[in-house]
Amino acid sequence: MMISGVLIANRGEIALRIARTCKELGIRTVAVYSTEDRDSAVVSYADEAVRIGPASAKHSYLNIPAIVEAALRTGVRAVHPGYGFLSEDPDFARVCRDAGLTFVGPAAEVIARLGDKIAARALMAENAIPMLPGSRSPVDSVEDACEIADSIGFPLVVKAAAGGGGRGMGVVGDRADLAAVFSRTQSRAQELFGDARVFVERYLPEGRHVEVQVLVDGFGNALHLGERDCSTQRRHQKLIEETPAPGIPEQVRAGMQEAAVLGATAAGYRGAATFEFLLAPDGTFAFLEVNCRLQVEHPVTEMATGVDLVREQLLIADGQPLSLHQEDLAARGCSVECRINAEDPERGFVPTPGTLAEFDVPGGPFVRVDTHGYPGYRVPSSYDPLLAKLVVWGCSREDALRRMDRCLADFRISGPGVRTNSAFLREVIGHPAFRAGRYSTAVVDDVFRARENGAALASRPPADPITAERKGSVP
Amino acid sequence: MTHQSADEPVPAEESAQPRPAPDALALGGLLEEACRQAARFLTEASRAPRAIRIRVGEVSFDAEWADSDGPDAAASASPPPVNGAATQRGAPEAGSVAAPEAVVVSPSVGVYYEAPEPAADPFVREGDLVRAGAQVAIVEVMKLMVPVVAEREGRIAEVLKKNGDSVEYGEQLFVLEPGAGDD
Repeated sequence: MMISGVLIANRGEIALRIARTCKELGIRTVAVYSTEDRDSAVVSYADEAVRIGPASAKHSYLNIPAIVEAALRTGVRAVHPGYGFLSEDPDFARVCRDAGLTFVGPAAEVIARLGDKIAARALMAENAIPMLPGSRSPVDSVEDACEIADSIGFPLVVKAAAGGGGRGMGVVGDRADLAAVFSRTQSRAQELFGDARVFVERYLPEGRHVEVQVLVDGFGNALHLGERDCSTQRRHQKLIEETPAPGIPEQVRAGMQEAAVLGATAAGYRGAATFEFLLAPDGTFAFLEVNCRLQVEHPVTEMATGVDLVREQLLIADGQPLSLHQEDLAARGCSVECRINAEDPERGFVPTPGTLAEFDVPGGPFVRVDTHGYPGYRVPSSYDPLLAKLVVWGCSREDALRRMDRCLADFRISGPGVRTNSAFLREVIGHPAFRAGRYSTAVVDDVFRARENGAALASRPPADPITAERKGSVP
Repeated sequence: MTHQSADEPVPAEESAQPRPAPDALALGGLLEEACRQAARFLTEASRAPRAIRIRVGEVSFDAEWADSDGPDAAASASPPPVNGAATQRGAPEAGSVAAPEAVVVSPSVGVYYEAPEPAADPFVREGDLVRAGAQVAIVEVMKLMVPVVAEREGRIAEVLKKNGDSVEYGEQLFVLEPGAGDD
């Protein structure tokens, strides 16, 4: 291994997860942290830790000069960006390269091209990868949008070229709303990304979100590690992910996997990539976007294939050829991940930062918990509320879901003001449509509505004196 | 739901079902009544609750009290070693050398320089008096020279870093003795 030290330009569970693999590979680790994260687990776990800024991410985890300076002064040769923050920022990849540091990810030019959704669509279309009907270039005016709408029909979606992950998009149900949604998405795109370019695409409300994990080395060897179904979302935030995607015909699965490998090769990709597809109820699939980084939900693929994706990323970045072969890769059984967030489902999922008095992680066979939490840890208010990723494996989907339900019940997290979505996740897992594997985002909406309509009432302790008295006077 | 035990918060939940929503006046009256009942519950409870929630329609009020020997004690805990990890690291916190208000800290991660140029005199030496806003050092971040300024007036009691040292964000550079401006 040429890479002797890695700076981890991230925080929370993913920073710790990357550091663990580095340790197994004998790579020295350098953590960076903000003042708010000084008690974070990775700070003590890493071989070195450098405080790079205050709580605000803009001045710490998004502060390119500070991170590169920390890498240079600690003498590491490589930087792993994790997910989020700077992981898909072509400028960061470029600055690292210019400073003589190996960026663990694709080249800056590839990130820039795939990050531009219009350019990415054009590239995939050139390679005959299935695409939803829509515009092939930026749509500048409402008139142009109307013209395209005539050919593709409604509903459709207006998306920002620089958007992704559900940010900067607007759904149009019928012609009457087109002008308003179009202008709103344009100005929102300008505001969010400093890039007002948008495009128009057919919208599939019943579509499922299925993504394929790909690895490509620097020698043109590419392979896939199966797919993940990430359809269980709440407001475009993934809640539960699983592999394999349930109930998909084999040829559809194979078609998506083939398209992802083809697309990654065509893009000149190097490293770990995720190709997102929309799967229609009729079994057709369409390219959505490429994520040029490790995904939050990568552990489900690791559990089913036995491949450590961070290890592969580091080996590829080190200039080594892939040692894996497609024919040797076989996903076994079923793996599911639940994202445990510090948030309150009963108050519109508001984040609930605070100190963890109790943090008791579930265990048992085929259970993996990726977390930076520990008893006494103060969940900061400055970052996203992801507290733990609970991942289980089972020899069948039913087996895995039973195990997940048990683990969610076993996971004890409490503290003043702290709430989690564990109980909500159990309800989703137990929902008949989810159990049957016929699901979309509608399942989450259904559970959410059921809760709002008084499900919370049923969970009240019956002996509560106020409740008992109150009952008589409720209108 | 997690298991209920004696150590669990005592949920004292007040809930009403305003569907269809009652008018604001009725809701106000309901809220008032709920608060009165909650207050009564608090005074009559055999032991102090750890948590209380009052909810009327869309409005909810949550309060939780930390255990005197429970979460508070845990709050000051440092992270346990993560499966065989090393000791606590990181920049020394303000307070380990002097009171936080009496130090000058680094505005960025980078390299500390005591003088404007290699051969020049340092900005300050021990014993020097500095005014609020005076430059006392430079921190270089990727070829960018970031000035370090004293936020308050005082005497440089101690220079903590050597020229060319690596520093972190918030790391202490000088100890400033306040109230020394009278001589």
